[in-house]
Amino acid sequence: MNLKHQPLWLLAGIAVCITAQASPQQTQAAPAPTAVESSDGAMKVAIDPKTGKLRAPTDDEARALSQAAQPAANARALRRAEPLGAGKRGFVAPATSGEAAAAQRKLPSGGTMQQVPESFMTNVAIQRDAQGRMVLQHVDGETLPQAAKEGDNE
Amino acid sequence: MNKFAPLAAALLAAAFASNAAAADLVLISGDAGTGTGLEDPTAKAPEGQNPGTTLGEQRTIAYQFAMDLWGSVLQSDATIYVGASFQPLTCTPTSAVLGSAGTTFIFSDFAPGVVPETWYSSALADSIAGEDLNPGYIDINSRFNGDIGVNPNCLTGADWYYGLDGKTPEGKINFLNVVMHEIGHGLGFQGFTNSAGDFLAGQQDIYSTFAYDNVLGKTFPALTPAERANALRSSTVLVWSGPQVKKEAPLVLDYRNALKVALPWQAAGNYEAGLAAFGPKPTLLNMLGILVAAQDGAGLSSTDACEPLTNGATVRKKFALVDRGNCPYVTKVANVQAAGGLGVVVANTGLGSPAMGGADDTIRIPAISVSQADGAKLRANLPSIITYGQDYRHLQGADNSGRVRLYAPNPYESGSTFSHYDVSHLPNALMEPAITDTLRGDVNLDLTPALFRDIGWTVNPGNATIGDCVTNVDVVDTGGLITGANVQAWNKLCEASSAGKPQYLKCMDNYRKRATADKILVGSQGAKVLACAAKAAK
Repeated sequence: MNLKHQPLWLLAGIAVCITAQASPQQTQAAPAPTAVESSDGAMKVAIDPKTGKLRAPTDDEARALSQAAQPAANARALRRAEPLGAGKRGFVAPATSGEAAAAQRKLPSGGTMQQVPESFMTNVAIQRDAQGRMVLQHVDGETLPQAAKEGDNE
Repeated sequence: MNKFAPLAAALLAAAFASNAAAADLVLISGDAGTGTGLEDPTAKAPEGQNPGTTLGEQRTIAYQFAMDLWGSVLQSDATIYVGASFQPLTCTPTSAVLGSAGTTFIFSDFAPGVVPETWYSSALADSIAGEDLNPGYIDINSRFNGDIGVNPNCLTGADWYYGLDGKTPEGKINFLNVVMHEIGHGLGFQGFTNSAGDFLAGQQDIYSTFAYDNVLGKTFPALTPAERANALRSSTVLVWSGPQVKKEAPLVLDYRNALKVALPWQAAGNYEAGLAAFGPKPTLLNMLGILVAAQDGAGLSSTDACEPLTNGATVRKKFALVDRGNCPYVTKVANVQAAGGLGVVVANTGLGSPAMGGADDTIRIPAISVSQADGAKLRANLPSIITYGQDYRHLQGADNSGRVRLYAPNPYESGSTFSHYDVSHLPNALMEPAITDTLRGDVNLDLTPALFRDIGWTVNPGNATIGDCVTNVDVVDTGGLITGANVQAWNKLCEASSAGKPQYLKCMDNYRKRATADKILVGSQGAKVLACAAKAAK
């Protein structure tokens, strides 16, 4: 994966994933700080436009990341509440399969029903490729697609 | 029905008053009362036959149009409630989450005759039961990115195209196609087996009962979770076993792309071929010649063509067999091209012949892929005389028994794997994971209605109607053409958007002219549609 051409946003996501899985020892053993934790608890990282290498974001870059993340975060928060004007419910999905299964109900006919967890919503995303063409694909949750999947290229 | 009411009210009325045989899909706006999203009052000039004059109106009309199309295709006595909203989803200047959708609830053992202990999506369960099994709740939920075209930092320079004519301008995203695809998931094109091969809440779902491992010869319920997990990682193995899809596949899918070997006789025959996203398309003529092995003599493998070739004299003016792996496809092809080769055959490192991604405008020679087993057979019989063409015994996107492939890449792709047709389908399918520019979800649903038949939907068998007048246009034709559904959706839109009978008739006449020019309506169909419209307007 060519990190130089990754969107800042995507790299922030990658950094969060890496950090979430790394042990404290591994984090401490890193040779140089390439990411910083912001006040909202998110781990952020930037690509130096000259070297193409990962590094901690400047204050301006960190601010830009926070601003980019905010609308989506707000929307996610909104999705935890049923829209008042809709007149029907069901817009809010259980966060996990366990939560969904726990709310299973019996039907009067004797059957069973349950809500589908959020993870089974299919998400479609779009990205411009190297030629500027827009490529649509499905993604996991709200994770943005990578510029090129490994399996596509080798 | 008040045919000529103001637009907003008429849209709502039209949604509740469609053909009795058809399903009613009703839009439940999650944006109601917010003044945003589907209610966005920003002025917007009508585009692509979408008559809305605000952003919110155009979004609503396009969404309703998609629901009318699906509603014409499927039959249900129970109303299907589709939740919809526009929200600021994750975005950068070059990429964005467009939207998401799915069923909200699943039901099992809800009516006599259904497969026991098996989950059904809410809309399908309601249609089979003939009643709303969960009153007060939506059946399908969907949300779309409202920042696209609005927030300059979101997919900069791009916008949704809310037109209904299928003529998407460069740089825009066809909203109607995306909605048709996403509602398709919500209606039941959705399996609930996870990446580990486990069923949701420990119980099979109706979609998964048709998922089939063609190596082990078993459907998903007969497999262990580990076996299912394995099948979910091979599009060669994972196929759809439903009879209706298999029956209609020959009407929809092209013949299979094949590398053809003429000599030596030990290797003669057809080899399933995967295509490349770069370089010229292979043809009988540009892939005609002698196949030899490429050698690069360096790197991780001497047969992967990841480095400049060392046997350029052998490869020059011939086709090169190379192994997959260790570098991008375009690098392999560029190295063969630099050595004077005419084309490339990439031998996979596993099952199947993968589609080869990548981009390089300097590539001028064709490339195809073959499976690992086929690659080994070819390598054992070099040099050989090859060309490219169609294998008339098999279908592109189906296995050797005609069962259509489902999307199952390795590694597993959450959000894509399983609940789509495979990307090897040609022509491209509405329910492939990558929505392509060539799709016309307003007139062609390819093999999706067939799959819906397999899982229990009743597909409208009749002709399109306008009022009481029956046209001579099939609502759904075998093979997934939905010309009649298109007629009915346009009739509803013309009714809802016209201020009076003359305007309605003009709207329908304009539709007839466009549909005839686009060959959507053929022969006497246009005249019959217009005659029915005139009768309905009396």
